Amino acid sequence: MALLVRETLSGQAWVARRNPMLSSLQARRLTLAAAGISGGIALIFSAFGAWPVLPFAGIEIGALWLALRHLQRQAGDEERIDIDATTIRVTRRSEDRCDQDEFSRYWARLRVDRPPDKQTFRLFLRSHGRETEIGRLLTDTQKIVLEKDLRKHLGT
Amino acid sequence: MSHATTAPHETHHDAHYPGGIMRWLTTTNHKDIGSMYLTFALIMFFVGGAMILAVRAELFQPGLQLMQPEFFNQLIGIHALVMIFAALMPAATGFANWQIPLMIGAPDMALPRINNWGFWLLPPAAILLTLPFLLAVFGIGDGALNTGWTMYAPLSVQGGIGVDFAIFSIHILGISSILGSINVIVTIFNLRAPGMTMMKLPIFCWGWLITAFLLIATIPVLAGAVTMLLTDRHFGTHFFNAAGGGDPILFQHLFWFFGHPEVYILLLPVWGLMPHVLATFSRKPMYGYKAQVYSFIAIGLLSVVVWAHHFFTAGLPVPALLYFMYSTMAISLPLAVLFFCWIATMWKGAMSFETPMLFAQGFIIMFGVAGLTGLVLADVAADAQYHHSYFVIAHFHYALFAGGIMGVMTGVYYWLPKWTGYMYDEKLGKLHFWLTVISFNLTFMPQFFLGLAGMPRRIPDYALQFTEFNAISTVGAMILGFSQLIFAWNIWKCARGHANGLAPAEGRAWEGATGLEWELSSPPPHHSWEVQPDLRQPGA
Repeated sequence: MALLVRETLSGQAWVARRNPMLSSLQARRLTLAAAGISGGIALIFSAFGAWPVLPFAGIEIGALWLALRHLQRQAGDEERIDIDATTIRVTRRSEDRCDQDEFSRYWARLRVDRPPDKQTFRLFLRSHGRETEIGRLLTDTQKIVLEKDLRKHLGT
Repeated sequence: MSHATTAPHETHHDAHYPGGIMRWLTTTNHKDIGSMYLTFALIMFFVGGAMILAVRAELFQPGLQLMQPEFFNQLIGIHALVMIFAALMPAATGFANWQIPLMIGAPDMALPRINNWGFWLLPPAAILLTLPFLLAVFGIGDGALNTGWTMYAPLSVQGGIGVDFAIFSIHILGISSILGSINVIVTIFNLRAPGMTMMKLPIFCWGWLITAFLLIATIPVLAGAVTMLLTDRHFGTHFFNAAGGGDPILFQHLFWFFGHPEVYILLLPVWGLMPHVLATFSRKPMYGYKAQVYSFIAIGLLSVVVWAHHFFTAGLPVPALLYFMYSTMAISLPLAVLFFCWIATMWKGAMSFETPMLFAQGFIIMFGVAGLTGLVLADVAADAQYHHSYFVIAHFHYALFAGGIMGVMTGVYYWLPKWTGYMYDEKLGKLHFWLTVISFNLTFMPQFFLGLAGMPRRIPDYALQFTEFNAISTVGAMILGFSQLIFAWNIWKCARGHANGLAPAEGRAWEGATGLEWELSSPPPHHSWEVQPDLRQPGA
């Protein structure tokens, strides 16, 4: 996970995104290579009568494909927090949607949720009865950094 | 302008994690899961070890002293399955869990929940494997798997309920291995730090990457084989029944198509960690990184095309015998490259002999014995004499104990300060090494001579002329088994380092250590890389 801090024309922006090394094309090639090897072996053994190897090879390659697909779908996830003179805007992009929440910079407040039985804590931005979670792509320490940065800018 | 945020590691919070048993049941943290794998492996190492000590006690002198042949057969079969699937493989997976994220600059494994699931499949599988022993005590069934770990048909088609338990256990262990492999593959391909190209990947990760692909290629074959066995046993199929048109040799092909790469599945992670240890204690960069990577790939490829050397005596056609003999011998070429690189890494280095380095030296010498005796067994003509003899037992214990388990011990001593935050007791470590290496050779060197003299494996009784070598081997095995308690005590002592007054370990626990993992504190923070390292920066 990467948290980038950017100065924009009208203020400042924090951009959180994942760090995938594998493009979707590479992921497809990897799955195809694994399927070729595993499927080829299974086909050879099937030709000698051991056809029950085939379904296991299929299940396994299916699992690998699902795992890579799961990561690829998350690869483009991004959360951007823009602050200008009057507003704070949270924009979340994922594979099939883009959400945006806007708050008044003066009124918006940060809430930190540290439940005793959870492994990570959560950050929320709220104002006028509305609340949205921020920093879902970040590690605990990055959330602490984001929290400190935002507190300097909110309510002013 | 943009910059990555930085934050000191001390700021990590660990006050809000669940405690007690819930922490271990629900954890998705790679370090917790790595610790669980390693602890499970250590426990099962002692379980499997206890079984074989009973076997060696029986073999101390000729005749039947302690057990009946049926129980003897169960002990040797389950010992092998426990040691391979429940001790050595989980130990390697424990290393992968602990080290891969630390070494590639990732905060965790790519699929943490699957990681948790992969581990928690292991205890039920181990229970399934050993439960028939207990059931037999209450008069249910006829005990555990008694066919040897290879489960050859048609013996296994006719065996008792222990075979069914073993089949289900192998399926569960296979699922766990596949989940672990998928996790390793997607973690290494997806979560490397920016700038860490494949040719900058730590060689331990390379070893594990090849291992993961080998598992992907071979586990379905084993799963298919044991499923066919199950349907032959209970659903009237005849895959392996010659009377019904099946072929019992087909099972051997299927089993060893998995079984031979399995040797490299067990050894490649260890071969991957060895260059790190040798470079650290020689205070030199590792020699021949690319040569080692290409050797790993070559060994991985060759390992899936040599399987039939395990049953040269089954009556294969001569061209097949020749092919499998030469292809098996071909593996010695990339392996020789690895040995050369390991020795060259130490050459003219400022070597020091802390416990991990001692184990690494022991590994190289004794694994060399395994390699040389493997060449003898690869010879079709010679194998006709050595097949199914104690020569084979000695050979594969030099490969899997000296090459595998001593490699795991090397890794444990090397990374224990990183994992626990404390330096282990060096005196105990050295005592453990010397007792292990001496007693190991006392146990298995005589078995080469027993095999050469014609003593077959898997027998509880033997001819009188084998008595002395068997007695020596049993004494060695007892010392070897009990000296492992020192290993367990040393780990326990280190894990409770503060209470035992051990010296705290620095982030870079060893003077000559290089690599990302040594940039972190010892022990590392909860989320390993709170700030992702960037290897694209100059000097990184």
